[in-house]
Amino acid sequence: MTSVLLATEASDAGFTAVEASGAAAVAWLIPLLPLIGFVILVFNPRRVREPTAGYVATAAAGLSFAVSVLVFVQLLGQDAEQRTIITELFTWFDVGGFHVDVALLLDPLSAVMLLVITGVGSLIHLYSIGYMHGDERFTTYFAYLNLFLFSMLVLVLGSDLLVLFVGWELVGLCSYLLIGFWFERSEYASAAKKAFIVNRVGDVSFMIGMFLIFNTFGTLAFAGVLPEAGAIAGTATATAIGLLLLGGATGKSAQIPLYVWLPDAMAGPTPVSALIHAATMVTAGVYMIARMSAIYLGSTTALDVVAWIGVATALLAALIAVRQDDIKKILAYSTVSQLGFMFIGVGVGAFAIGIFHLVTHAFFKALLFLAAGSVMHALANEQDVWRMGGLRKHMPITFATSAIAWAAISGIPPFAGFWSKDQILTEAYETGHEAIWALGVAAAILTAFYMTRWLILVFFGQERFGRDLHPHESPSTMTVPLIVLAVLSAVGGVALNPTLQGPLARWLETAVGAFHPEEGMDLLFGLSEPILIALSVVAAAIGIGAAYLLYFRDGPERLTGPVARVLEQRFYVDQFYELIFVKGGGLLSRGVAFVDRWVIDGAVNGAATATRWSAGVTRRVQSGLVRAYVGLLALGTVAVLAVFLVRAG
Amino acid sequence: MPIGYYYAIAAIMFCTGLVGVLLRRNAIVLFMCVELMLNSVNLTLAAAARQWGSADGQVFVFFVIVVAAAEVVVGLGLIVNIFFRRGTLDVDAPRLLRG
Repeated sequence: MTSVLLATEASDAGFTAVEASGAAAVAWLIPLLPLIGFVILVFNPRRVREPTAGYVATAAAGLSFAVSVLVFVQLLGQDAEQRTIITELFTWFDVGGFHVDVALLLDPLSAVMLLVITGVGSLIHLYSIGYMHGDERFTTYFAYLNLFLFSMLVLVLGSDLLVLFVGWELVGLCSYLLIGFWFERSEYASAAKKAFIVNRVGDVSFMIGMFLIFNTFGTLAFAGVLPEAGAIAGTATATAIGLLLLGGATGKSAQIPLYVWLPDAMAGPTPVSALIHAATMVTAGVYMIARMSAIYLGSTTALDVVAWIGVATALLAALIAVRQDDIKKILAYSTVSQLGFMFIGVGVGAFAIGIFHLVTHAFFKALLFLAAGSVMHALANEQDVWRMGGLRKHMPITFATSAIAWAAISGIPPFAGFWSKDQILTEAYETGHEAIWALGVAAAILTAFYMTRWLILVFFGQERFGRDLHPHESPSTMTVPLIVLAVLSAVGGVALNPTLQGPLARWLETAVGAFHPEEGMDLLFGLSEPILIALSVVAAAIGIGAAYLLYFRDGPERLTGPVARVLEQRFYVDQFYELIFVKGGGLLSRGVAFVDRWVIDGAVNGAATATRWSAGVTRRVQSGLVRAYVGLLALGTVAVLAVFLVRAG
Repeated sequence: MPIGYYYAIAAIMFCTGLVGVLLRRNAIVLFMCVELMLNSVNLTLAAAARQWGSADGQVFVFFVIVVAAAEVVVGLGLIVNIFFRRGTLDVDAPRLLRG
């Protein structure tokens, strides 16, 4: 395993920064535009109303995308060594030996992220204009959406881990604002709190990791840390940093054990789910690990933990998704599962392939969520897939685009998801992680299964929704993004990275290190790449076939039995957390509150009571009678004299 | 005359004054008793000065007289004021400072 990592070139080539010119010189516009949109909208919720607010926000996102494209094109035209551009904006602070610049980091990795965030983000903005039609707080919604985009761009563009962390926390805030957008319903409000708090748990780990990095390298700037990462390769420090940062990533990217917030996060408006699941927040963890790849390459232990967490999450979430009935919850668990695949990718050291899956997943998962939103829009916010069915005829565009997304996520060639998922599994196998590969294939079978089930229950079979509902196709602001995303989901994979060394992988090489599996590795089974690809297709076919047999041929029927029950209850993980952390935490706090009230406050109040009581006793001496005072004075004098006389005698 | 006689008279004067302060209720009488006590001390000081042939005691006597005079000025002012307000010179009557 170590030899494989030594064969990779750590990303120290990346940080020979060049002078910004052309589009890169105005790259600060990319985060600034959504921020301006946010400021305009959030301070004028009464004056800027529907639909103007939607257009303002969408325009901000769209312009930001345009600048991103220009930056990307410029980077594309430069030599590979010249593709890292760091533009200093201002010094944030400079205290003692601690210096933090707010600077934009443009490199192949951030360029890819910029395109995904602003591109998919713009489409989601556009879609929201139709989806949020008639909402009371239309303007506020778009303000938050712009802020979300801004936060994610800060996260991606920051050239310093601390700036990344600012973006990291800001997306956490935005997720809280948007998941709880309809806070009038208390369960939505608590879903928002859950997302926020679970993320905080990961953030503690992330911050400790940052302290450790600063302690080791004396700086948090990527340009200072990453080229030096080789110096700590193989040490316990590298492992510790890797694991602590992973702790943060499990929170943000919804991996075991902190994945529980993401399925609840669909309480927000559906386009928000699309934004969180596809283009922003949850990809942050994968991005961060890819960004810190130089550190991770120094610790096989940390990488293996990443890969194992990934595969465990992929499998667990896929199993849960099999028995969910909520149209968005199925997709939410699917996201958790797909993020697990990305973690497998970065965990076996194939950082570029992990990012590749991030990109294709952004396309088809955004599409799936937006399609789900379109369906809910047509069915008066119905979310139970058992009360849908037969929508194929009523909503042809939504159906056709959903089918493409389904093909992409299920892993049918040549749709986008096939390429990225297959490459992750191939890389896992070829780097000697046979067990992870086998479990990953199992997760892929399940993915095909639950997504087929989803498609059948929503669009095929009998119409199970109420008779008074007349589903209709959504307005064009909603269908246009669907169609664009469908095209991307269809051709994105083959266009970006048809082989392990495809254009995207080569493009990312300078940023995350090239990855060359060791030649002649002695692998279990000794499968070759074509066989792996064939197995991947077979896995998809098995999943689809099983779902077809179960839900289509004989008409849809719910699975029953003890296993289905456990899956429906999501392995009781939420109940377990509820018991241990919520109830346990409550018990602990009540204990602490008891000690505070009776022991700490008791001591304080006791002192006060004792003082008051003694005052009550001694105040009687203050009779106000002059003669009494004089008498006491005389007595005292006599006493003092007596003492002196006795001692003198 | 032996020095002890002076001390004895001073002690008698002091005790007379003290008993007066403790037992009498009229503020003016109280004052006079205080004067009595002060004078007993003055007598002791003068006698002691004579005994040891030192002027210190006599100097102290002058200080005491000056302080006593000042005290009487303030004290009489208070007494007059209390009398105007309360219509009595009974020192037990005003108990504003009771705890």
